[in-house]
Amino acid sequence: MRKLLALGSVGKEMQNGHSFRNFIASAALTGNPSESGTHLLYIFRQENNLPKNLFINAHEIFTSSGVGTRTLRDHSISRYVFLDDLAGSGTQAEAYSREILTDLKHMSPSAQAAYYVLFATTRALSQIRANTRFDNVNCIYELDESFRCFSDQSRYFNGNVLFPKATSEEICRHYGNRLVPAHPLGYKDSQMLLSFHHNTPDNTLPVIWFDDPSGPPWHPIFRRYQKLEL
Amino acid sequence: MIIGAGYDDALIAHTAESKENARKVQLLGLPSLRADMYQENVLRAQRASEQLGSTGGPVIDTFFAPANDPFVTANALSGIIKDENRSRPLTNLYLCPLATKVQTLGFGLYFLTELLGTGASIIFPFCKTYARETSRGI
Repeated sequence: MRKLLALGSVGKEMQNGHSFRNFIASAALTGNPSESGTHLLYIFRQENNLPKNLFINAHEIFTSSGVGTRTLRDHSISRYVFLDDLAGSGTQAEAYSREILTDLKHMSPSAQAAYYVLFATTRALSQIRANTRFDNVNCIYELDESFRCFSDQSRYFNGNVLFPKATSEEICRHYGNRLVPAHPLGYKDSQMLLSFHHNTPDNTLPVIWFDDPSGPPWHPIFRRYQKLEL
Repeated sequence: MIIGAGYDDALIAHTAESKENARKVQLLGLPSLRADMYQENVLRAQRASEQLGSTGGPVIDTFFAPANDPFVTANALSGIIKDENRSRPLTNLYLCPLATKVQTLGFGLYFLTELLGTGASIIFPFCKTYARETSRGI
């Protein structure tokens, strides 16, 4: 992941082609400094040798001028770059487009907002491009339907396999229903087989990552550290 | 000798053998063209490890440049050579692009912008035919 963050053209563009002052990257899509977006930006800044004043949290885009009102903190910023590790379904990007970009575009109509992720499914990219106000949406690796575990084009069952696709799906769905009844094959039926060194996304099959001490007993291959909502 | 190592391990081995006394480093395509291609590329390039001077594992110096961005590739090559020259000045340099067409373009850009008139040369094995499909994917 460190190398992917270093070799993308975004970091180089931020280094060379544009005035630093006009370019701000944000972990806004996670919106919380304890989540993985911050971790990602830290490595991105190190690998691309960028000054830290180019990075802000989502809440720092605005400043509050009273209860319920917010204004843009810095009108000289013309380009906002939002970075994240994965767009699995596009739900998060849509939510933050509503929560941040609506006001941002209203206050600074000429400001450009880009959403860049390391990995994105083709479905998520289409969803985000169609339903958000990001001017530019892109990823390093696009995961098409062949990366969806049990899809018709699945790459995981295109040869001699120990378990046929139908049997494998039945097993994963059976246990997935016990572990995460609402999304037995991953969030919004994503059916992904992807894990990062810092965490496993919920788009991946729950049988791979489920490890909730208050849930059914299960020993995952790659544990997912849940976001606890209090 | 900087080898842009692609899927054709026989070609990598052949070119490496042609300059057997040169110290070799390999440049792998990362980000690769598709998510599974990086691992596949590493496995294929590993088959030529003996000719690259590494028999016990991936101990050969390995660098990375995108498989689909010639400008970042040229920039990466420039960085590699500057670092090498700092520690021990190079007398002779061979560039051998054997990976994607775009990465080959990056090698060419680097050569044209920084290496003209120096003791550097490009080794490029022209092929009469090539396989359109290189793998079934992982």
